[in-house]
Amino acid sequence: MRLFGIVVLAALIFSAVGCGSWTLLDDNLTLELRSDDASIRRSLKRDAAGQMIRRLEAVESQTDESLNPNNRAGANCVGGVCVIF
Amino acid sequence: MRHFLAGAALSLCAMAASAQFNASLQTLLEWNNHIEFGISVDPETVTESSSTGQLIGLRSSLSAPIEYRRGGGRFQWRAAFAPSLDNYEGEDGFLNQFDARFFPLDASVEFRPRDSLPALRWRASAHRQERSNDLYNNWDASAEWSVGNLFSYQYRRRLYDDSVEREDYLLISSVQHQLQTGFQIVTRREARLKANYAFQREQYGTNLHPLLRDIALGVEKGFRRVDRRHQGSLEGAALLGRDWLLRLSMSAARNDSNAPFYRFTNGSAGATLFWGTSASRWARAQAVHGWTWFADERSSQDQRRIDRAWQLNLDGEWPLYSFLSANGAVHLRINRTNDPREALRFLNHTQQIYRLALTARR
Repeated sequence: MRLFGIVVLAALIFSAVGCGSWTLLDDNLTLELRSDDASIRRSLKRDAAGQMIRRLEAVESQTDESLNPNNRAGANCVGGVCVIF
Repeated sequence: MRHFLAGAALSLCAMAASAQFNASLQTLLEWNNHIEFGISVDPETVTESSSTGQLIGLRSSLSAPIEYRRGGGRFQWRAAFAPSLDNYEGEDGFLNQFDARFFPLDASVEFRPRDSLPALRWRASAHRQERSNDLYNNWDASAEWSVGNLFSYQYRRRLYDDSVEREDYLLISSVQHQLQTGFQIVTRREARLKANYAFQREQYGTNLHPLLRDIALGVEKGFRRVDRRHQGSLEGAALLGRDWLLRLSMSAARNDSNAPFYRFTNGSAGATLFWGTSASRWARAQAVHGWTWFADERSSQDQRRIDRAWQLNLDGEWPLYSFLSANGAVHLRINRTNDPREALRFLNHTQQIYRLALTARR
């Protein structure tokens, strides 16, 4: 949580000093850091990185439930770690 | 208003033209050397034999997911049903109690008011699980409302068929509320950093077995466990060549509970290397190291309990024909605890899973 807070703070500072701007990309709140490429947002929509991330996320949505067939996920598990007595 | 109605009418026309029906059939065979479904069936508590290290067996499964999507324009909706059957073999028939039937039903609706605004989504699901041993039969229902990937609220209710006293919170009904938010940072075309935070509140039923009430928790009958969880994660992804992606991730979570035994913090760090050229042609290698620190000093006699897990996953899919693909997976997980108590010895184990599957898609 501390790390998450640091990243949020850094993002706010970056945007406040003009090193980046907030936008919406693939339904994500996105901080674009300054780049030589002014049309970075448009290129990201087309680029292979975004496509590959979506492909990986599609694989994960189909397979991750079966990663542990013991089906412990749920009641006693936090962040993928299950606590047992 | 007229513009809205006209837009809605156009959306409905587009929806009618863009319906999509997907169906698939999957069969798999899996060998697992550490089968467990909660402490209630841990080898040492069920078979009462300290020589029984781990439950080893084969799982064969058949599933037939169907999905119907309709959308285009500003409205989209989806309904999916994925019934499946599991059959276990091994340990002289002891594993037959895990034979299962699953009936998961999911539905979602999405509305995007304007192109420049995030989509509003509503999701609902109801999953029914039935095993040969009625102990496990439950409903797992959830409802979620989200604004793009910016914010979401999820309600989840797990409801077991009976309220018999159980030795494991995994087998006790619970109610969960979750709030989640996140954002990403784009540094250049090939790299992204994603940050997510979630808060959960979960409240459990009161049908806890005296064994766990007295030994682990020291609480009175009727005690209701309530947990509050903070979870944060960071993921950085970068493209390595045209079809390769490297993702580094770390996460931390803190569980605050009114039962001291369940106060703990955990963290994980992992790397995923992914190769993919299509939905049915991909491979993935993943390594994760996780830690759990327990706050309750009673969890160990002279030192604080720390559990560790190393996990290595290799899996992939390859098309055999245009309608048929093969999946393979190898999972290795090494669990260790520093707690020397005999009762927790079963936590020190190495789990291996090997899986082969065939998937036919329409």
